[in-house]
Amino acid sequence: MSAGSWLCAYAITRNRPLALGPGTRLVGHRELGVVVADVDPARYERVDTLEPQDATLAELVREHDAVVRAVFRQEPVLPLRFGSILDGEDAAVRLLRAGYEQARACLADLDGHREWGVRVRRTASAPPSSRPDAGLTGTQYLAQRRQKLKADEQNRADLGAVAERLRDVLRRHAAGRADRTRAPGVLVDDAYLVPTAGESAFHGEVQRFADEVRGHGATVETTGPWPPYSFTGFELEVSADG
Amino acid sequence: MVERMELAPAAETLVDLLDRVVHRGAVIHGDVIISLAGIDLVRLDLRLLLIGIEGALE
Repeated sequence: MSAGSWLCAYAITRNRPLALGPGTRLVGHRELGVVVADVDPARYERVDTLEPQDATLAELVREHDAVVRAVFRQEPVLPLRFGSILDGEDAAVRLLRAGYEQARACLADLDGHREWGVRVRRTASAPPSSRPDAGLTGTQYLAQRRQKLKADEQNRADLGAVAERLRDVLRRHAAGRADRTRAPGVLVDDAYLVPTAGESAFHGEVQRFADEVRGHGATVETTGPWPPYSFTGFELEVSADG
Repeated sequence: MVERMELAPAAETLVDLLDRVVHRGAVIHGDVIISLAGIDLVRLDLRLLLIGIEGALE
């Protein structure tokens, strides 16, 4: 192994002529290719010590995303995880040989699809009627407060039901769904693999639900289109004689 | 229709990107891959990451 030949691998795609950015090239094997660039390992030094919002990490990640997207605009793409560094072009060919059938089947499934993120988030809850109305007796105040709590609870249950209906409907418009880690206050954080021909129907459903969700004190947001990052969660094993 | 949709705030856009690029995508094993020191540790706990970034931007 020589450091001079280290390659950063971004994605597996079809072995076809691609317009790629400077420094990036396709290493092909039969019908498949892996998009790589020569890499200076020093760039990844101490990457583990960086804060997530550190500009260095964000820059590396954006670079990775830009290469994957450039390929994705032209061909179906199977993104590789950030920091996949290969030991030269021979290693790239061995990777393609070892993962050939798995990768080819995956690309066929992903062809004609894009990933969309959908998030339902509670908006800041209505400010509580902080000071009891001067005219209310203690009993009246407590009754009012109980009523408010009950209404909030009902609203939360209704919102949960709407969110589940939204998820069911969107799932029917998609080839796949992946759950993502949810931040506090987020009810739904899903990724959907949507056929491009069905995108307007998919977004139409999101729109149809938007008012209903808003009525329950929440919003629906979408992100995308993304390359199918959330739908390529498999592992490629390259044995020593691969 | 697309322009009427609500967009995620910028901090979460970065979290979405980090999550996808760093946590998702196919993983390669075997002797073709060079293990970079600490690269596995970049796979941060996303919950911490969400709170961390939102906190940092407040």
